[in-house]
Amino acid sequence: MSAGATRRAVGSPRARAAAAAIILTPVLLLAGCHKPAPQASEQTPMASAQPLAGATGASADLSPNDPPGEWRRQARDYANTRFSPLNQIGAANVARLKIAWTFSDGIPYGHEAAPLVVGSTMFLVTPFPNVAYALDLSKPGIPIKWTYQPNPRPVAVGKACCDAVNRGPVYADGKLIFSLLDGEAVALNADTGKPVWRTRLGDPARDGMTITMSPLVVGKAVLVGDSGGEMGVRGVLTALDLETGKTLWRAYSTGPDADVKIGPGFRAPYAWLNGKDLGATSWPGDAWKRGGATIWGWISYDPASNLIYAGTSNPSPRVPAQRPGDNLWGSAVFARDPATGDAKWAFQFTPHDQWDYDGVNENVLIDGAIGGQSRKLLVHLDRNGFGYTMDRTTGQILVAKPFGAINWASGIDMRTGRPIVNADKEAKLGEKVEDICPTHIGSKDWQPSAFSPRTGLIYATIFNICMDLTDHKVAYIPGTPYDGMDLQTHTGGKTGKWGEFIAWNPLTGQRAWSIPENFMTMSGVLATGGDLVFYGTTDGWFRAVDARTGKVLWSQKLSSGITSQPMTFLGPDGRQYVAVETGVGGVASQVMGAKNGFPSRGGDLYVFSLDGASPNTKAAGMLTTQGAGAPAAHFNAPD
Amino acid sequence: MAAPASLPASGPAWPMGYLATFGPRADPATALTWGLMDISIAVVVIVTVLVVAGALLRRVSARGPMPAASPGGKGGLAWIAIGCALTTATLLISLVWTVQVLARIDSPATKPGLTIEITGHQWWWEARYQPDQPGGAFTTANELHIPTGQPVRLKVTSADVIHSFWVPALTGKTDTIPGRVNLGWMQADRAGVYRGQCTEYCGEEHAKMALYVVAEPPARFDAWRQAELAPAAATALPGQTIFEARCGACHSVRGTSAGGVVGPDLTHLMSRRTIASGILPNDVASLSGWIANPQALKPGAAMPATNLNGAELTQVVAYLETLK
Amino acid sequence: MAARAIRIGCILALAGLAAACKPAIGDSTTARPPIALPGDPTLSHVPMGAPPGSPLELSTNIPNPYEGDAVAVAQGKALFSAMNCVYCHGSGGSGLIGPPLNAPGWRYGGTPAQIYNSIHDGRPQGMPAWGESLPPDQIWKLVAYVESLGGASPPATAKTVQAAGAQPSATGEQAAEQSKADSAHEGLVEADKANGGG
Repeated sequence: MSAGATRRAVGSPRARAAAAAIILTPVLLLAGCHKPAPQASEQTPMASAQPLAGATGASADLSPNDPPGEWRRQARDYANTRFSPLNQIGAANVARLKIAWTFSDGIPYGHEAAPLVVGSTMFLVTPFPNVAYALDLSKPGIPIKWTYQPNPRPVAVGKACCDAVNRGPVYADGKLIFSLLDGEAVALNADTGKPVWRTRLGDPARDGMTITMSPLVVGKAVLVGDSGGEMGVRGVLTALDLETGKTLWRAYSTGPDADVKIGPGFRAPYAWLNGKDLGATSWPGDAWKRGGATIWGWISYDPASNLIYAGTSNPSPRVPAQRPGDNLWGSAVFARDPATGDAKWAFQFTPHDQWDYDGVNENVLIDGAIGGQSRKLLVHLDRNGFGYTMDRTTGQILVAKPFGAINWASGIDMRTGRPIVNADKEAKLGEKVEDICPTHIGSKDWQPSAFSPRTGLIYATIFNICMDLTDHKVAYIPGTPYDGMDLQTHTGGKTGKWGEFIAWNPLTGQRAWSIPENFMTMSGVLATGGDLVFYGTTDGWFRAVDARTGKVLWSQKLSSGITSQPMTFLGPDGRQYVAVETGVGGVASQVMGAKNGFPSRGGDLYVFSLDGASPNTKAAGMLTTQGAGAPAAHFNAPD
Repeated sequence: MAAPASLPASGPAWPMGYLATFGPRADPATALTWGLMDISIAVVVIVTVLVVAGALLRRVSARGPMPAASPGGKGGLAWIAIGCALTTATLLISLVWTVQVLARIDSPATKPGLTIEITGHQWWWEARYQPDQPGGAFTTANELHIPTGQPVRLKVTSADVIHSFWVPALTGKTDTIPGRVNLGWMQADRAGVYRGQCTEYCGEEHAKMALYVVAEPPARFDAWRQAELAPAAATALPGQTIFEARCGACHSVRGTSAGGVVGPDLTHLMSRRTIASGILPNDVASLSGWIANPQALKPGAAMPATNLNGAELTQVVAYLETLK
Repeated sequence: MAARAIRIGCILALAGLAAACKPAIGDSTTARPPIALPGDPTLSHVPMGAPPGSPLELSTNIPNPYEGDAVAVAQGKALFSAMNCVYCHGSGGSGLIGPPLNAPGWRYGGTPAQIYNSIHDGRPQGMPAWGESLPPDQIWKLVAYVESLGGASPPATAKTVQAAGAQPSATGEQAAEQSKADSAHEGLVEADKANGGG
């Protein structure tokens, strides 16, 4: 805007500038004003996914673009952004967030899942024994519509390395689908809770295989992985038919190309990953048959290229001395065709993983410009401490920078993607190697990060933990751990802080800001259209943070530590709610359980709203539970 | 792969002769041994002769009393000077020869193509073959095969107490010390079967901790190695199920679910000449007797009485017989 | 004459030495109490009113034949590693995938016979049945090691071994718990003694 229009009216340049300022300032101020938070009826969800000024420029495809008030899978969308467009709750009013209602599932094992909301029903799946609940959000008292008790076999409890957890169900095609700890997948009719199919994928009593991951539904395929990298279980990704539960295809993570489904259409991004039967030849003898590389983390999907992305666990046994070689395809990520399982490309983050770093962390699919060119990207904050930004069509590494304090490697060789390993920090049989950073659970474990298309940043809870490691030779005895690692953990550096919440720029590989935490932070992250990000700590604090600045705007102490995933939804009353499950467990309890101040176990779902308002609160008078709902599941409290 | 019967027996009649050696690691030491012994014998002979001569050959002169000692006594001093010079020269030669031998046997002339990691246990030998590619590593026990004419590097350590690895015909003694890896090497220039033995007292059954080294032409050795690399073929024998359940916690047989590391790897048990670390021949009778009651044959051994009944024992031995 | 006497004397001395030598390591053939198997079916019964883990008043509550045998405890520790127990129960029994063994409160009981049965038969939540793979002798050695970790009952045994310098409790909380359990157990033990039970 030039001052030309006023030129003839006013004489001196100074006066002209002043006039321009007087006219322009209110215009700019009005333009910069945010619209007030809309009422439910006037909300325009897609507008709240638009980027803010100063954003990194990264964006994401939020397919399948479910109704904005719903949450139908753990990661909300196929790209795994965990971003909700809802913006009733924002920086301006989040300080008013209060508990609206709670729900206890009575189970002391670690809680790692998020509830789902479809329409006016909320679905929950508990840790072992994996009871499923459907709650009717439309009636006061949130009565239980139905419960389903699958009665998985208790032998699985003693085979799960890291607590008897479950990372949540998925809703698709009128069915609620989830895994059972004892190696099964089950689909229920979401209206009635009756089982539609139940498929057994493995047997914990035979080889220690369990399942904790949350399946993903892509088209007609239900994708289910497995757990047991600590037990010598062979990693496999299975696709089950959505209608019948029958096996469509199985893709193993180790072994000859035919088993791994590497065929003529496969092209790895680097020369060392292209070769015949590398999943067998990079192992001694037939050790790949017990090679681990299980699929127990997250699966993301790109509808445009029709590829699914899933990472693999550490190779087996945990001690590397007994498996010389790169141990493909452990601690790696695969891009596969969801209809056939055929691998399009694969990349190994930590060749010959000596520290149990795994590669199962989520792969967030975003689009952004790197080197001036707009690219289709995949962001992966790996256990090994490096934040990778890759081209998701080819697997090429574009950015690889440490997001946590690490010393096991000095960097990534960008020509090959291989880490430059520090020889001092390599594991040795029978000898103690001190202060390896990060520890075995990495700088960040399975707890998923979130991406906000409004800021273009990735938000994650990370660790600041190192280990002293002594490796021992280990026997393979089926049903017992195939392990060998003897480690003690301590905090890294001088801060003494075990956890941290970071905002990460995936296009540059830099931190934007961070919030240190005394205790481990092992929760998933929620990003919302109200420019808030939510996370929880293992000592029970649930926090809302300004997604732009990193300022903590609201904190609430809850009954137990938080290792689950926060989510947000619109109730039938049109209000936005934020929900998170408490109940600390998992590896957090293994690592920090003996520390002073670490909370005890629990199992409560907390639902928050502005002022705690909901149809379940009334200023005066009594409300009762409505609807002859199903009873809560009764079972003996495990000690 | 059965033990080849056509290999010639090695060395002299007794199995542990260390004076008959067959490779560049041991030959120089043997030569030095003989050489020093010859020198010592020569010295003893010379000195004895001189002493005897001096004692017996007295000049008895009829002409009168012994002449008085001549002043100066130059004759006596000469003898001392000669003696010292000879002694010094001999010792110097021995020293130089010894040091030369030590230098020569310290490391092989060519870089070894094969490395074997040997771990001493109470009371058996574990051997892990390290190849160039990762796919080629395997573990065996109590019987090593090596190619003739090539040096083989040894990395020895112990899983419990100090043992010592010794194959007298091929190499010297190398202590296996827990927590340390000692380096050694050996080379066999002639094909044959060479017996070895633990030579550091390591407990009750130290005397029954033998091993065999079979040196073969390189082609035969490669064939043996390929056979060892292969996992055991799956069978439908009931003995396999019993073995996996009852023995698998301590023993490994690659290709089955038996993956224990406390005891020897048995994947190719039938390719060995002996069992129980060289003390019993590998035949059905000895195998059955050993499994039935190891404590009777080697009291104190880590292998417990397995409490297999007759039928089970027969089935297990029948299964083991398939592990060629 | 003197030489002959000397020769006889040497032979006798050597014979005497040989007789005096005792087998040392790993011995399982010298005089030990016969290995008894806890085959008594009443061992699985928990008397009315007695919480799991309290000392059972059973006439066939078999003691561990390796009670107090430090060599057996050391061998049990080696077995505890070799059989992968340490990767489920934690080093020193601190607990990991499986429950801790260095703290009291055991679902299936902590007397030697109960520990033996747990190892031999396995337990429903994933404890493998080692009776197939390990002979009784080795299981008793494992029991001896587990008892030395400090969580087994009766606590008198645990305290004795602890005083001899075995594994300490993991945390202050657990030690407090244990001393509380100890005093509770002591009350029971007093009652047992008063009843003349064993």
